Amino acid sequence: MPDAPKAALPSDATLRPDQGEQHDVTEIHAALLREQPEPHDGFEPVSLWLVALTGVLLFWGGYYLANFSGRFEADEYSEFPHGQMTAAALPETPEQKFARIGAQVFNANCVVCHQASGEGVSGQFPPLAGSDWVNVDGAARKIRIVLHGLGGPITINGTAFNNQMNSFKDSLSDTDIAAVLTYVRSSWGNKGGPVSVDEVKAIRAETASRDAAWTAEELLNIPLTGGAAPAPGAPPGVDQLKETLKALPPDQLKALLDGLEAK
Amino acid sequence: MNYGPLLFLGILFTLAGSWFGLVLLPNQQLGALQPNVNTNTGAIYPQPIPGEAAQGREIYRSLGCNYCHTQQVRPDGFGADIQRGWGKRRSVARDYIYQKPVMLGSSRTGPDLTNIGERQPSYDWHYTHLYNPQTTSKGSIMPPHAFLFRTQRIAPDGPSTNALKLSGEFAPAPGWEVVPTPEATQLVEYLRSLKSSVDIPEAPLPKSEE
Amino acid sequence: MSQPATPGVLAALSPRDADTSSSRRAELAEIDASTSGTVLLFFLAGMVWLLIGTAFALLASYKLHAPDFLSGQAWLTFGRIRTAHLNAVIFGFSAEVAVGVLLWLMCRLCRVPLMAQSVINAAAVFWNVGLTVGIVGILKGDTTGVEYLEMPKYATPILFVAFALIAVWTIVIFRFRREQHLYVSQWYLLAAVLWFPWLYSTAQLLLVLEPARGTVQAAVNWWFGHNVLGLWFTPIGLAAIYYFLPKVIGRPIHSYYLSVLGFWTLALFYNWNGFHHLVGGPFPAWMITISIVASVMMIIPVVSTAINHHFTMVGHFGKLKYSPTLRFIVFGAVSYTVSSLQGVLSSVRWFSEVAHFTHHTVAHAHWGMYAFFTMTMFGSMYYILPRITQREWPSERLISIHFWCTAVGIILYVAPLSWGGWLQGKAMLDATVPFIDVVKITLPWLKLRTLMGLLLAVGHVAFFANLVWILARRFGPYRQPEPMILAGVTPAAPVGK
Repeated sequence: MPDAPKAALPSDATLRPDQGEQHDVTEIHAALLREQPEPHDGFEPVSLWLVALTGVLLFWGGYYLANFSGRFEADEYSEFPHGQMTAAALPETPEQKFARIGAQVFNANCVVCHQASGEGVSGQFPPLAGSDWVNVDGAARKIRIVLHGLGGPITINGTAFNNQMNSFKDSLSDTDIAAVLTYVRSSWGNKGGPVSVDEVKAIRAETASRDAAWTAEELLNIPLTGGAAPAPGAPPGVDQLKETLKALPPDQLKALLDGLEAK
Repeated sequence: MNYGPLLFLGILFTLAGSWFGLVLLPNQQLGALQPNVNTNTGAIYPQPIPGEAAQGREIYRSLGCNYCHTQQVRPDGFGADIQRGWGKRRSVARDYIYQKPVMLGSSRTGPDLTNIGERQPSYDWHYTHLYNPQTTSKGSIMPPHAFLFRTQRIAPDGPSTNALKLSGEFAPAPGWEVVPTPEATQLVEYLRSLKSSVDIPEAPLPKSEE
Repeated sequence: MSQPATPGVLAALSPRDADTSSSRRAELAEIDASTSGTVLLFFLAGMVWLLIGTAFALLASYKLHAPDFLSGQAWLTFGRIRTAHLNAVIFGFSAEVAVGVLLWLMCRLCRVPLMAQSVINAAAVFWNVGLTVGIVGILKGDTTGVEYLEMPKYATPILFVAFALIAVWTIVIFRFRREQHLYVSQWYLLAAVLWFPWLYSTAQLLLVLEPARGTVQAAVNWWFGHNVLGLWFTPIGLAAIYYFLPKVIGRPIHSYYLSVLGFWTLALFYNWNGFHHLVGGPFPAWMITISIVASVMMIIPVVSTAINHHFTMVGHFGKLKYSPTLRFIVFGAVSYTVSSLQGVLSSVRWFSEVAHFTHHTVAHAHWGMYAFFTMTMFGSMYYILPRITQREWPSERLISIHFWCTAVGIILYVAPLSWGGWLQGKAMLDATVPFIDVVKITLPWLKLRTLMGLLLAVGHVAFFANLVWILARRFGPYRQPEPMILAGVTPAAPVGK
């Protein structure tokens, strides 16, 4: 603090100051008295650069307003004069595009339950990473699950789950489904080749009349590889039969045997 | 010269400009929009949302959900909204004519919800997510809304039909269950009502697949 | 300053100014005395709301990266705490301090003592009552859901009465001014009190009382929201800078012509900016385009003002060492330029595509409302309070803490978060990036924000302590005044602080 030669302090230091009383007005208004004068204007001219900048901006503004306003119409949402703006396509090979769609569809639809890591949520949503339902050769069951959803008990990697998966047949196209399943099969260490759009198309057509979500038991009836499920009464392959029989609970097994016998 | 009156007039005139251009004109162009009637199916879109969903909207508003979630889909080619599955087409003014207040949102701390009813119709998912977002979305920064639920003893004749399916660290103590309060149900009904992938003249749904 | 007021001081001042005469000073003394009670009331209330608003802010910021914190009750949920923060700092702190500065400046510049103090003091009471009711209402869940207008219907009429009374009496003061020449600050102040009630009443009518149909609400919302910043806070902030900058250094404003250009281009263009908050939104193209054009045109007033301020200061930056007022004012003025240019950039479509809906917008809002407006208000208070309390600031240390904590705190909040928001936006544009990963990108920037918020809070507490102390001096025993000049340096020429 700068040292100040102090004026004499009043004898009674507890006296409240007020104008016109003991204390020097200049002391009370010290702040006021050392003030600079009230502000006033200088008159430097405006720089020509600023004038030029103003001109440029006005010109740009007029141009932009005239050309990007959709003719000031109430229902013209695109600012571009020639119709809807489409994504500026980055150069992509078909494989890259397919991979991108797969990732996008997964992020948009599957992450909410199966998580971005594919790990699912324990007790709620099954994992896709390292799942024994994913890491099998054919895509027949997977395509059906995505089309119509899945409900009820299911065992994956030895853990039981019992939840409801939404159906996506109305919101995802054949390409979307093929791409997302390809993505699932090639992520997080999963094995399995790409899923073809044609296969999805075929299975969608075949199951066109179906609305309900699949159950695990129904799906286990369906062969892993190849297109259609065996026609009713047609003999299943031996491996297929073994697998199906193993997965069935006893009363269903009995019903199946009775059914086969009846044919 | 007394510039006071000139200043006064200039101040009023300049604001009158945008009052005219940004308030009156938009009201004239958009303020009387009617729902669209589909000439093929006769379907009317949009429609005011029904009872429970309307109550749920009030809860959405009162909790301030619109400070983290938007409800507007940007056009294809401007942002990645459509690629993220947030909508099949951009949002337009007609989508909002029955909403009071319109909660477009201005921040995407969480995803856009314009079409969440199409993308996620599952009650279970919404209940568990609202109860504690970590159950369905690990690492989420959305706050838990356990106050929209009630933890109660499981009745002697068994758990409630609408008890939440919680497991692990989120599950209540054994013998207890978590059930949604009416507010939670209303809020979920509201979220399930959010659907706008309908063809309208000024924003048709895209026809071709990728 | 090394001597208390003596003839030496008076002689050292520019002799051409009639302003230095004792009668002129007596007039200023009378005016200051007439405003003192009212201005003190607004400043004190404003500072209390700053502390409350800061507490809400810290809570909200922390919750964004620790969502489980205090999440058991609905009234503490993020959506309500964030809203309470916003309303407390905008309608509590910022607006009340703004009114205090507005009244003091208008009276001084019009050379008229404040009239109807009891009416305006009553308005202050109304205001604070209305605001308290409104914020409690928000925490209860009665929010209107309209951004910047969340206080429920039962609170806002009380506020509106307060605004109206203040506006009316400011216009009356202006009408009965004794000074013929209108200084640039007066233009901005008059504009602010004419514009704000118009904005507020239109918004309340078309959004809360008789809501317009559909997206017209959003249109009115952002016409209002942006104009609160551009036509209420910005003019008051600029008026303060235009007054205190030349006042403290004792030099004229560089160019009257630039002042004219700056004011009228701001008045013409700023109010059309509103829809730049809606780029890509459900609106016909022309509405968005017109706001983008208006936003880009704002370069003209911003650059004009920046040139004006800079060339006024040039050669006098050394005085920043001594004057707390000047430090905060210059910080505010520079931040005005930077945040405004950031705003212009944000409204252009190619930038908005990335940054819209991200934390970049939040950072920009704080760059404007805090780094520009709040710091300018702090500077104004540092100048005004000694004059209305007739005391000097008690603690240099508290001023230093205040300045450094707020300056460092706000810069390390807004600049990194702007960048973090950009990164967030870029990731959001790539649909192959899962949304949860987009959220993860923001976390370090949000945590830094909380840390900087703590620093800001320390600064606020330091200032509040100093404020209480100077008030205690006002109502306590008289003491020899020692002017608060920072750094303990005796300047060669007298410095008007």
